[in-house]
Amino acid sequence: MHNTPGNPSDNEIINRIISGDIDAFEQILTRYKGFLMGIVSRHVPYDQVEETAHDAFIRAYLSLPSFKQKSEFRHWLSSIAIRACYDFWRQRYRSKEVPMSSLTEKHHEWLENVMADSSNREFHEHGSIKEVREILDWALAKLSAEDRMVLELVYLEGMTVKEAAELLGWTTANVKVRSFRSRKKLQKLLSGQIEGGMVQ
Amino acid sequence: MKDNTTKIIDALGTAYRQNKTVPAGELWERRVMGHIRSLGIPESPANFTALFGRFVWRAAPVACLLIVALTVGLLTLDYAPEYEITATFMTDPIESTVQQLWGG
Repeated sequence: MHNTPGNPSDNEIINRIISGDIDAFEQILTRYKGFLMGIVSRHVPYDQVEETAHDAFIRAYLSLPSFKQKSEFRHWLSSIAIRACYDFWRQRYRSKEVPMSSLTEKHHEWLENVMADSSNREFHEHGSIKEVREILDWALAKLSAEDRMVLELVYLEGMTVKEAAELLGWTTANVKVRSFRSRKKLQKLLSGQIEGGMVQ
Repeated sequence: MKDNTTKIIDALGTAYRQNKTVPAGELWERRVMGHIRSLGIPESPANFTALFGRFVWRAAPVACLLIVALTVGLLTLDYAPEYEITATFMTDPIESTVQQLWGG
């Protein structure tokens, strides 16, 4: 972020916060709330976004003294947001709060339509976005928190293994192995449903 | 030609990327700032090298005094471990008790 009199840089604001001007964090919040909400909205359920984003901002605030001001603040913040989402799912899976719904006739219909379509029509031409999201949520709920995060970052968001590893704070080897395994698991889940649907 | 599951995963990915962002309301922003204010100024993480250094220097005078005291003690008491053990064997009132203790 460029430094102009009315628009202080991120590093300037951070230095002010560390030296005791807590209210200066409001500028960081205003500047990055949309960005952070965007990240969190993709990874956690709609009704949990505000709480997880709140948690991510608190973590960012408490970690400000450890922020190396040579790196980009936006990237550092996105890493904190991703880890907050990962922790959200870890906690959810540990307390077994992940809903295990089953697929309905409509979902099977959508799966069959996508498979049968040889043209590259948009997915929503086969059914509503709500149904597609439900299928995705159903499949992701069957994976572990680790597999879920890796699959979302690498296959659904299209990040490289290195980018995903940096955001999660894992090694690239770990992310590579996990992304391969999680995709296999997802394929197995979907093919199980496809075969099941065909039998029905 | 893509296999069936790949086609489905691609379609799921497209749906995933169209997820709507939850808007951050004013009330939410005020709640976060209220929480931040209640936390106080963020503290720097503990620097273990500095902590170790400080601890070592604080303990150094005590360690020096202890070394001096032990040296003086040993010199004044004229303590010789080998001599003491031999003396214990020689003056053993109950035969072989000490020897047994020492595995003899």
